[in-house]
Amino acid sequence: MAYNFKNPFLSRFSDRTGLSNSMFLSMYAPQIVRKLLNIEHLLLPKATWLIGTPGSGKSSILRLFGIDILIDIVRQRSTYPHIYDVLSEAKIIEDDIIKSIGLYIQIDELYAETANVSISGISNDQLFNTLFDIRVAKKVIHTIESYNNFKSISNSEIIIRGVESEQFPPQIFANNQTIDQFKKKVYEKESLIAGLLNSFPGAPLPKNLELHNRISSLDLIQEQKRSQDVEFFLMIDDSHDLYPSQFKILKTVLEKRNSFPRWIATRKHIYPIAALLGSGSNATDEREVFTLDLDVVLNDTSLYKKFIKILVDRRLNFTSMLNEFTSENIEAMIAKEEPVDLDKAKIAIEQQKDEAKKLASKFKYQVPDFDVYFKGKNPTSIEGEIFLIKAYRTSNKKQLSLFPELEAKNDFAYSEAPSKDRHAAELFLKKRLKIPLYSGFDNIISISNNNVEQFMRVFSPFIDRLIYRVEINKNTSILPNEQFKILRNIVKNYINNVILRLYLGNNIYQLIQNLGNYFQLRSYEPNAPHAPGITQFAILASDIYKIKDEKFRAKPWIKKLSDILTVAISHNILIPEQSVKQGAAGSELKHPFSLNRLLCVSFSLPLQKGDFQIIPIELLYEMCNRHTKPDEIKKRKASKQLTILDDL
Amino acid sequence: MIRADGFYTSEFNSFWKKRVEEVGKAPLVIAGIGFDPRSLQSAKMLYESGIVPKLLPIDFSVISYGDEDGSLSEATTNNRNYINKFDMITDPLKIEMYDSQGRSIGGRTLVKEIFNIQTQLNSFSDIIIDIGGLPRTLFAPLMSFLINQQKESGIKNLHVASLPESKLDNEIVSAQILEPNFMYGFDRPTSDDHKFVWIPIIGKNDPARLRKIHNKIEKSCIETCPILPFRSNDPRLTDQLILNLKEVLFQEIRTFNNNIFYIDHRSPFFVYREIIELSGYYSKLLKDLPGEVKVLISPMDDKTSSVGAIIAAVEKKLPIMYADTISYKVKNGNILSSEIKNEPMEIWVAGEAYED
Repeated sequence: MAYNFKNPFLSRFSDRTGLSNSMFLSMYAPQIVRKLLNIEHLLLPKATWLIGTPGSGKSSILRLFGIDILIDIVRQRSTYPHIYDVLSEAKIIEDDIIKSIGLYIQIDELYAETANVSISGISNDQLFNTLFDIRVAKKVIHTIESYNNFKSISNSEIIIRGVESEQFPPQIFANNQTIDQFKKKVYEKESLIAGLLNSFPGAPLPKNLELHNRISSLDLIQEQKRSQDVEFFLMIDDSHDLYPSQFKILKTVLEKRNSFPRWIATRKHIYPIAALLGSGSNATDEREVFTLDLDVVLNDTSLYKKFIKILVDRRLNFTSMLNEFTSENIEAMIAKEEPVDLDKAKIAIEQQKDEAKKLASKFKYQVPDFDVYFKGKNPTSIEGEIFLIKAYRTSNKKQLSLFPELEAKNDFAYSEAPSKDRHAAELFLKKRLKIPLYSGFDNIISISNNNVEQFMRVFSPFIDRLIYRVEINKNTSILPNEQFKILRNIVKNYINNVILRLYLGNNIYQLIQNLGNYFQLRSYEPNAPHAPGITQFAILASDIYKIKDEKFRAKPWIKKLSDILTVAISHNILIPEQSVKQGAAGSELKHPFSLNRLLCVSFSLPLQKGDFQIIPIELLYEMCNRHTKPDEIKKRKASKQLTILDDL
Repeated sequence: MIRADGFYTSEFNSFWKKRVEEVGKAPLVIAGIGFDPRSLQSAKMLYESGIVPKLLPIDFSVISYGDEDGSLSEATTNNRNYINKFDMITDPLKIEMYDSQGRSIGGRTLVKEIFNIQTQLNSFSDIIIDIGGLPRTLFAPLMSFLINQQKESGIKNLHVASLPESKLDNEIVSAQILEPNFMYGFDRPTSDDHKFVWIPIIGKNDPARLRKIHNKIEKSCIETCPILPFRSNDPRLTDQLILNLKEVLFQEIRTFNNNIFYIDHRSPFFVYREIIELSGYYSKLLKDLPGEVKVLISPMDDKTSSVGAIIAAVEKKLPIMYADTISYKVKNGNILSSEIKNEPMEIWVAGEAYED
């Protein structure tokens, strides 16, 4: 039966490990995988850490390389040519022959049980090693069996090679054996371990259960490489679900030199703040270890937009309500803002004239008269807005010009204005005319912050709206005003259902409220000093040092601030940007953090990358704990005094 | 008596008066001491009937919202103060519900704690688990363990006291659901070859939990047989549930209409009987399929019907999958201070009633 979802944008398919291969492949948009596979490190025999926030696509990437999916891609080459080509370019598949196979291991809750159980005489590490080895062995069996069967080789001809004795393998990996013999032993052992992990206290220990003192399954993979005409690479997913001690064991084993690639996907939240405040580049390379930040890889707007359009087209196939639509149709239905109509433009220009007159009366030597400036011209409302911004800037100058008549009149012209000022002017005009600030498909993509999960969160309510319109046979266009209402609701849900439910969620919420209000105040100052607006705050390098340094972190408030920032960064609420040297020569390095663009909607901030404001960590900590008025933040930016009690 | 005709009564007080007269000893009540006003209802009822039970309080912590007016804290404090009326066999057992990564660990921890004091438990003729104030992830493993111990090592009679209060249940809602997991204390399939006939027992409009569990087992699930409530006191409930859940039930899970079972959930043994029958039916029907086929239960209705599902799972060695709640929201805090006068239901789970 074909799948039919009312709104296929509501499901996170990467979470659905039980999804059928055909559905997984039908949904797949391989643009990001293509970009990744161009990174040569990935297929080198190294340990590659694929780190990212939830929704950055880790699981979807890894699952593509499992044997079952690869076989389906080869068998149905004509159905999935776009995926076949990507794998072919990377030489994973060559002329319908599978050359490399990923062994996909998902870290599930049973690993946690190995740490929680307490059985006398058995160490928890032994249980962990054994479970991991058995799970890898199971994947090796399945992969080799499927690969050989694909080549029409029967099981009786397949031999699993034993691990050399100098590697001190556990008995189960020690000898050559047929795949069926090996399979029987591995499955029995898994069942014994599962029984043990699930047993009640006092239950007798299973006989003949040999526990592993070290992880040996990587040696097992290495051995099979010698007898199989295919390359393997190990892929560990959800490694962040391990307890720290287990993570350490696995990290040590995986980062040791080996002859095949190991990819380990993990969420960012397991990384301490020091690592999250890294260089901002997408990769770090060491001899045996390579780290790739998927969020940075995705931060390529044109690639991301292409990816999203294909993703939208694929998902539309899974709803009978909208399957006649394409991403282009939908893009057209989510209307961009209409041009300002003449009546509104007239009102705006009148208001601008009045404002300019008031300004000119105070600073008549510097600010030209609006009417005089535009004499003989028919200014547009956006030109009027630019004029005003520049007029305010001029009026704010502390020194009067000695020769005002010599100042270039063109300084006030729209055509001369830099794009940042134009963006600010557009925002100011929309505010003045109460026109929705955000509308259109491109804005939805911008708001999604280059994160697939966030795109689904933002886009699915629009699809709900379209479905409703189709159901009642009404015009399917969603006008900007309606879009604005939908967006407001999405932000509300994001705050209530995501941010507030996080560990330290209340502090993060308080911080973003204070930051958002402050950014709004500064962004809408009439002279647009930080055009197109403020969307970032920055921490000075000396403050970053305190957050990272263990000695300073002994102070409870610094520790707590560090934890708040870690959670906010790892969940994409705050996004660390490349550090900058802006300012006077020799001044400190600044580490800016952007507010998630979905939150920018809440505070009417621009969706373009805005300017930043430096905030000392003392003030930042206070902003996490109490409502702080924007004026107060502006006043106290230079202060290092902690005003609330350090009572943690 | 066989379990299919299991013993339960809504006349809690008269049952226990008679029972204590018979055995000459007050029972031990195991109860939670959270904010739920039903937590100690069975102990209160016994106390008011002149029976002073021994008490084993379980002190567990969940995250809860909606305490702006302090009613949640007040309700918890009331419960904690009330336990002083009783003779406690030990200090309250402090149970961590979740580990540092938000995984549910309470069931395992509680069983371990109970195991450590089991000799004390063995001295009682009757043990009542009051599930009114205990989350499913605590009382289900505890029930499984004690049923097991009743068969093997010294627990004599096990009872459950349950007080369904739909008004109260509707006010306490899950705010955040964890990833679904096989419940500790029940069968745990590990092999990928396992196939499931999934029985979600549905009683609330909770599509998120249903979807989460289904997503987890999707690949292994060969049939879905939802059990829906059929209540004479609210005949529209089933229709309303189907309407609310139609998208997830029929479009995502693709349930066949004739696979839906309607059971009167007020008796735990109706649910029990249906699961036992379905388990038997499917093991015969699907025995020739490669790999093992198991009935997988997800109890998502009220706690009383969960009791039936738990007993069936223990008896037939069936796995239970559940998505635990990490935080609750109480919509109207005042409800916590309202006095509850109803008697809980007495469900005799294991012991003399079932011996030949």
